[in-house]
Amino acid sequence: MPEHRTPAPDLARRAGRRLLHPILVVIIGGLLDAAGEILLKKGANSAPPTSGLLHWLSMYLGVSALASIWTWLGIISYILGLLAWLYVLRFIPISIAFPINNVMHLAVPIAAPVLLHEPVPLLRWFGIGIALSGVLLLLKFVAEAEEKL
Amino acid sequence: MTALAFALCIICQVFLLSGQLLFKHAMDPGNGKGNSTARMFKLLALGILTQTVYFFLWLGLLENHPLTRIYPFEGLNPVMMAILAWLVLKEKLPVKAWIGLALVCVGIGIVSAT
Repeated sequence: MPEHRTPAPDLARRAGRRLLHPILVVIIGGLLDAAGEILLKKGANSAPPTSGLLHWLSMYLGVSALASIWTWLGIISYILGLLAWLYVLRFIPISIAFPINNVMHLAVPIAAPVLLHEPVPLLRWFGIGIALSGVLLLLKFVAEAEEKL
Repeated sequence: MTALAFALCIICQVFLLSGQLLFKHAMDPGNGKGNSTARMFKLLALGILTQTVYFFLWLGLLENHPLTRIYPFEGLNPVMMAILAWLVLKEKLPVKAWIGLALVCVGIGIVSAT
């Protein structure tokens, strides 16, 4: 491996022909992060149960949101997202993987009106569109790097 | 927003980004051989520590400032990350990827500010 790391051939050599394709994993991982955020918010919003194991645990730890099953699902989702992210970092330059992962967080404002009944103003949809077009450019770059293989 | 709060926002993001660089270096040191398991976990632990500092700094900022004022700083991250990765890990990007990065930043900035 040469000392200077040009992403294109490097990327192609290491990312290509894998069962769990890193680009697929970075997208799934980003969506898991977004799901984690929504689940945590849902857990914080929901009325906690007044009995049962989770109620006891939340009293013991002093965090009322831990009484909700949604909060725990959110935490699991975050952990899976981190594992996916670490897998991705083995194969893709971080300057490419990071923005793709970041933009997947925009699934939160996209899902918020449906799942959390929060309104999304028009200008925000505009911002989502611009960010997604940026990611398409990045993905195009990755795809071209693979074709060179 | 005071100069101090502004500086804290930037410092906060630097912690986030250096934690990510440590993660990257743990998983892929760039020599084609990978790290030994012990070294990988050491770097991962250091990365998690850095992310924890970020988390509490960010929590402190969130307590004292409205989200719409400080969240746009997160939008700067993709570009700051690319610059740091270029400086530290010697990752190079073509012009097309830089345009993509800029679009991502502008989009996230708009989403956070609205």
